[in-house]
Amino acid sequence: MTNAADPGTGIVVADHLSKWYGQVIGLNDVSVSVPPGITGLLGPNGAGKSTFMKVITGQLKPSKGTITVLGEPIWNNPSLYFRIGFCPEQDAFYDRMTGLEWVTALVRLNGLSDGDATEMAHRALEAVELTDAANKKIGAYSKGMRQRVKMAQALAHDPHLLILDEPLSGMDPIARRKTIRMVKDWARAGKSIIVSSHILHEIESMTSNILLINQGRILAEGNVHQIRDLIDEHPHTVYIRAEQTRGLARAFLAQDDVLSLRFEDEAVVVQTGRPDAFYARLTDLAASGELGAIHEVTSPDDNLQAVFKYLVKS
Amino acid sequence: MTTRTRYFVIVSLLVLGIGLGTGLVAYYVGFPAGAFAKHAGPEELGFIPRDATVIAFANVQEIMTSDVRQRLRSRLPLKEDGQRELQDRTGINLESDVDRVVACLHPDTTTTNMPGAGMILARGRFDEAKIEALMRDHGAHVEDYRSKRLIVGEFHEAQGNSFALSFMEPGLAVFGSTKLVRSAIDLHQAGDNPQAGLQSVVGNEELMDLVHALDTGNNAWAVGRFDALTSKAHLPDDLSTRLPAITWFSVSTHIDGGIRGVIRADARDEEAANNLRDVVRGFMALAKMQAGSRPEMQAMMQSLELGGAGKTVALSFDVPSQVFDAIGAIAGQKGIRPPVH
Amino acid sequence: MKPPPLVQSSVRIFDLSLGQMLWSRRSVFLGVLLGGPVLLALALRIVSTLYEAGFRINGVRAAGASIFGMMIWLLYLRFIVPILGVFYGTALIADEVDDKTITYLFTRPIPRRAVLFGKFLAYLACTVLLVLPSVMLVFFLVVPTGGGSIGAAFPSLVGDFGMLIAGLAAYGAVFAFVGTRVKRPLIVGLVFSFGWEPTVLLLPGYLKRLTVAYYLQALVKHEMPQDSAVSVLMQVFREVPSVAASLVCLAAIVAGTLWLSGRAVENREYVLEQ
Repeated sequence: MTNAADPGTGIVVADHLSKWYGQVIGLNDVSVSVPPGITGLLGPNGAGKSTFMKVITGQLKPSKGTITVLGEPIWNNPSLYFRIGFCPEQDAFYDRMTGLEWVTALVRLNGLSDGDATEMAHRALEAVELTDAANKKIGAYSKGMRQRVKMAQALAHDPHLLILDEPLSGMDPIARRKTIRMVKDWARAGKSIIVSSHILHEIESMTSNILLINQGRILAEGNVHQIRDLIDEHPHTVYIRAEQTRGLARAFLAQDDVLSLRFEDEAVVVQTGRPDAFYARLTDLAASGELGAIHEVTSPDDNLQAVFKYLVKS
Repeated sequence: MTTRTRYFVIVSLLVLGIGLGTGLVAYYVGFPAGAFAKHAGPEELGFIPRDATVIAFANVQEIMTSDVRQRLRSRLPLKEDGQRELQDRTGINLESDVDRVVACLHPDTTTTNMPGAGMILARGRFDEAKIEALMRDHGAHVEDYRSKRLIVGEFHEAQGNSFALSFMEPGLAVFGSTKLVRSAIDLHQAGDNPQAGLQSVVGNEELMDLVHALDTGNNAWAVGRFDALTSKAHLPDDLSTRLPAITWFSVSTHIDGGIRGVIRADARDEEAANNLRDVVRGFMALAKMQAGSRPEMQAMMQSLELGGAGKTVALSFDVPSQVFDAIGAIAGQKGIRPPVH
Repeated sequence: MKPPPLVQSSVRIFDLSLGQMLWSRRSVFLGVLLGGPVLLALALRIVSTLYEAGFRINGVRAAGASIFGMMIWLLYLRFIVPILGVFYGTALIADEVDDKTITYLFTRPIPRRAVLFGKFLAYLACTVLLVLPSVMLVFFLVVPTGGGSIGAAFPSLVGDFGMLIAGLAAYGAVFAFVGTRVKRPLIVGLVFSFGWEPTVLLLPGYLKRLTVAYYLQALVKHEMPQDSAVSVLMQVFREVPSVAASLVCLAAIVAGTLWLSGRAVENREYVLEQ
């Protein structure tokens, strides 16, 4: 990854790209070339991640500068979407449709026949392990299933570039692990993937190439391990919504890295000094099923915000 | 498209298809009477041929027992000799023996010097033997037509316009042009059969539309083709060109305490309708002036109301019972006395 | 690789959107709106069956076909069709934006205007499939009252269908344009339909040509009762162009406003609320 735009090798190349909404600046003079493979876009909420994602998916037009995706400008260039799959952040669907109907309908927009579209939708749902729920209404899906069906519509037409906006948000630990594995598999199959998150741990588990973004600017780019140590200095907060929060709390308290713990409704909120080790144990616990189902794991971006504050100051 | 949506589209298109199909059938073939609305008019209409130009109905019983009739009878010197003679010779008491009559005019193409043939169907209580004997005395002969006795008069036989009488069923007498009476018997026996060229006026949609449009509860009405009547009437050219361009007309009245009714005419086009409205307005103004200061006449004139839409011109009226009292009073002033019972 | 043709893309968006439109909450409103005339027709039919004197206008018994004509004119053409145009037309893109589902459509290899055209087709199909059966029911309930004939009135029903489709298309297209250009399209649409149009139609001059109703009125073939408030209004509205000119103008309105709406959608950025 280079700071200067490099149209020769980059799958996404931004050259002095700025985007503002009236008086509010979304992106500020960004010049970057995203290489093939998996790239993580890391930044707290309001950092400009979403704006960047919207610009590179052609939803927003650059106010200044240029952006090319797979070598072509993306704004008003529908043919480029044959090679791009986008999984947006928002939890929005046509809830009355089944997963299969929805993915098929969207794939049909690629000009495929009904038969081909249905077949591709089946394959995509199989890839995200939603075959059993393919004929259920999306409105009845869990958060994790909804995330996966969004990914299915993004990859169904076998795009070259996958753009995933917060794909792990709200997933349970097992689905999270599976999704991470899928993303890595797609990259190995030759696809390029840009994945955004506000959780370093999530990005780190998929790629070592990251783009740090804050206040509309690219703060740092390169290997994730360079900022790894900085992150570890700050406690990491994890929100876990589960069936047996009391049992989980007891199990967490036995661990050295758990710094504090509190209950919120049907969830337990944990602060840990070593997120890697904590997530690994949490995934094992979920897989064993000893302490009931774990419905949702999310991480507020407070800890990352602290790191960014440190980076900006330094 | 989801399955549910597909079903909805199919059902909606089916509703539309059925509706349009039904409408098309109605448009080209017509509906059997009563398919969507109650059959209007008396059942005797079923014995009148389809191509009748005018049909009329009177509920004789209601009219005879109406307050208007009683008032007129008590105030006007109606001669009862004629009625008594009729009763003596035919056995028919008009006051009590006839319930209702239906009449029609038909554009009889076999004659050119007559406005058309006619027929009356009367429902009531008749002394069949007495009537037949009377007709035989006057030269009529009896034929058998479709197992019915047809008493044929010789009056206009030479012109091919003879008249006949038949009792088609107990209490139903048909009298009129022999041809029409035969048609009535055909319809009575075989019913509507368009394939065999046998169809009653109930299948004449234009005429029946007018019957449908009449107010129910009327005890006398007539509807028909005005232009067919005038074309057969052999009117002088000067007069016929001045007649308003009316195609259809209808008159309906309810006779009880007073007489109220509507005269309706369908003009050839909107311009003709407007002209007709102007003429009627002129007559109404004139009539109101003539009514002068007589309150009972003024009430009648005030009841005149011009209406209708598009090509239709309608004049409604309401003659209150006081008008008949006034007529009686005028008759009294002229020295005419009502009969003493 | 070239994106699929505009027509094909529009048809596929139509296919995707029709169900969404039909089973939305707005359709409940649509059902109530269209159920009203049917219930009214049913009431008329029951009353005319029970009360044999029927309905009178200026002392003359009103024929079913005339009542049906009045219902088409007053209820459907002057009220229901503009209302449907406003509520559905202005929401063609706005609904997808509010539901945040527009992203899925705008990140597919189809021209953006195909989304608008497809959704417009879905609106037209949705409203036509609901309005026409409603009119059909009203026709069969009302026309036979007062001695009307189904067969005689049938050609006018076919004409009414054409007129209603033209009205739905024209109002839908105009309000689709309003929806893509204006910040508060619903208010603008309601003011246009129930403020601007009725007012301007009563005024002499050329302003009435800036309405949809002016061109639709040329297609109204029903006879209205004379000497009534409705007929007075009809006389005013009777200052209309020929049927051919009206059809051409309505087609131009639909094509023009849709083209402008399509352009707006192509060039507009839709920022979804987080």
